[in-house]
Amino acid sequence: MQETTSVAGVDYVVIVVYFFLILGFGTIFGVRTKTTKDFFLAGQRFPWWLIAMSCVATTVGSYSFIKYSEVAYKYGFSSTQTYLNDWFIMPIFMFGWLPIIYCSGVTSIPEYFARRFDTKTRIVATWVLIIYLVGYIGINFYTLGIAMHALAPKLGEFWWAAVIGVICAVYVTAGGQISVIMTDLVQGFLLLLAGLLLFGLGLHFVGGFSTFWHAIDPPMRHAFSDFNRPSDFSFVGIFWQDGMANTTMLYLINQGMILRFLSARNPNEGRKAMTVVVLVLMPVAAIVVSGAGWLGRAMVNLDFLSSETSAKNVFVAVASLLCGPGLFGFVIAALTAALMSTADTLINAVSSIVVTDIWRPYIVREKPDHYYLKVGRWGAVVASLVAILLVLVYKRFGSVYQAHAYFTGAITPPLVVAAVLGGFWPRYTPTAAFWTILGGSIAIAVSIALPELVAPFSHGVGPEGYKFMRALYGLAVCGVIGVMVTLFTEPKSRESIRGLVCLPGAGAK
Amino acid sequence: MSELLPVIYQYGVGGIVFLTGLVLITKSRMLDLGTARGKRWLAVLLGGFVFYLCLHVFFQFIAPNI
Repeated sequence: MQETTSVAGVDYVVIVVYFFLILGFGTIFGVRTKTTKDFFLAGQRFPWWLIAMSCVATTVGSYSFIKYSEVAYKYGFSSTQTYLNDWFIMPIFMFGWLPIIYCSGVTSIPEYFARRFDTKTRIVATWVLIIYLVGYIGINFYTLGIAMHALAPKLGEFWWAAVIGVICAVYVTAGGQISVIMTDLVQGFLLLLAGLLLFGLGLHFVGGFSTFWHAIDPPMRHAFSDFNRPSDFSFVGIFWQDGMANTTMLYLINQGMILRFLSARNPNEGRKAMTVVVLVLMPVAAIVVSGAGWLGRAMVNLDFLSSETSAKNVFVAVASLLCGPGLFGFVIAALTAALMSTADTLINAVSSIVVTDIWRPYIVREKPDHYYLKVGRWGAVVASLVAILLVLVYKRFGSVYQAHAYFTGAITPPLVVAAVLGGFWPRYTPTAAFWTILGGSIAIAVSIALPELVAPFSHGVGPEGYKFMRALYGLAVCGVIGVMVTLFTEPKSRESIRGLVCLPGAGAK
Repeated sequence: MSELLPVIYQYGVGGIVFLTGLVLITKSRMLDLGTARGKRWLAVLLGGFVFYLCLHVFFQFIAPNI
């Protein structure tokens, strides 16, 4: 029975070689980056399959392997819920939002807000988005710092996070979006391959799929968790927090994903990429990130693994049990790939916002393109440094996931509601958009201080699950603010918002 | 009922979001059903919805008892 994790010297060699390969591979593409269009949009030349693989690498974050293995080990197959609930918004994304963003020529969501609404809405959206993205990068650095520190304790969590942060910053600064997409292609393949390899080895180890399946406790074999319990993993909580709020945020507003789709040759290539991502790659990714947890549960029930194995360590415990020296290093490198491919996207996204929404319109106007390219590169460096420093802040929280849930819960709904109403309701006014974002954020902040405000939206989920149900509260409050303010304020003329909103007959030739 | 409720809720509420999106994009002709390409994409969208519905029904009700 396996209880401890051992790391051989060859594993460290594999991890270090991987770091240098990615660093070199990403930096090489800096040679091709001559303009801001190259840096942020990769010249809008990529085919659907490259975008699709890159999207998956970005979606599978640093903590995905650890987090989903943990819930898979504790709750079984319902761990796949978050990966399999994206399809509902596909009509508005593929045929509403994507062509609007692509054809309007904007390079950031705040820029869209400026054209659809006004300057003050752009400014408030810019800062909310930057806080969200930089905070998100910091959490990614921190989680990998924790994982790497567990494997190599000689270097502290902060310093591991700093090493990873510097590597990401170097190749993003050199190559921008081209480096991000090309390294994501490698890292996407690597993380899917490593996850599937681990799952295959595990099935072989326990004696085949039938033995594995029957070793999972029957209540853990369902696709969904119970409707409103347990509070921290209920179906309804995940549906609203992830399926509605986070999914919409990810595809419609997350600057990293938006830049990814804007780098496609045309909107139809973007649609093809999205179809493959959600219908094919996301189910595969669900197996990849949860597999170690399911195997861990089966192995415990079959007495291959100690029942003392903690859920948080199950990924590393299972990987170390199944993989020999060298292969274990490869799997840990895949874990690293998951981090770097998410963080690099977000770093590039922040630098894009710095140039497009702060520097070019408000600080230094009408300079040559190479000047803004330099600003974009410095933006990537500064975003990485701030995110590395945020690791020191996150270390103070008892649980980084709790901090993350509060953080994203407060940020997501206002921008989601403003974007959806802005893109699909022509009557929605600039004043309403401004107050949806600002007023909604304030209302959500108040609900953190007074959690009982979330109770009417809780669907019977206990207070521990309010961090999930806060998404529904936020969507509802922001929706009410948006509609009420719209009814009492003046909309922009149809002509001024043509091409920026899904108007009746807008797609007609 | 406890196994059925999540499926009904997900495909009921999610279905409303999905259908609302379909209505918006077809009314605006961003998805033009007058063309073969538009009809093909509508089939992809509806097919994706049915694919996930079948996947979830299988894993929620059938697979656990195999």
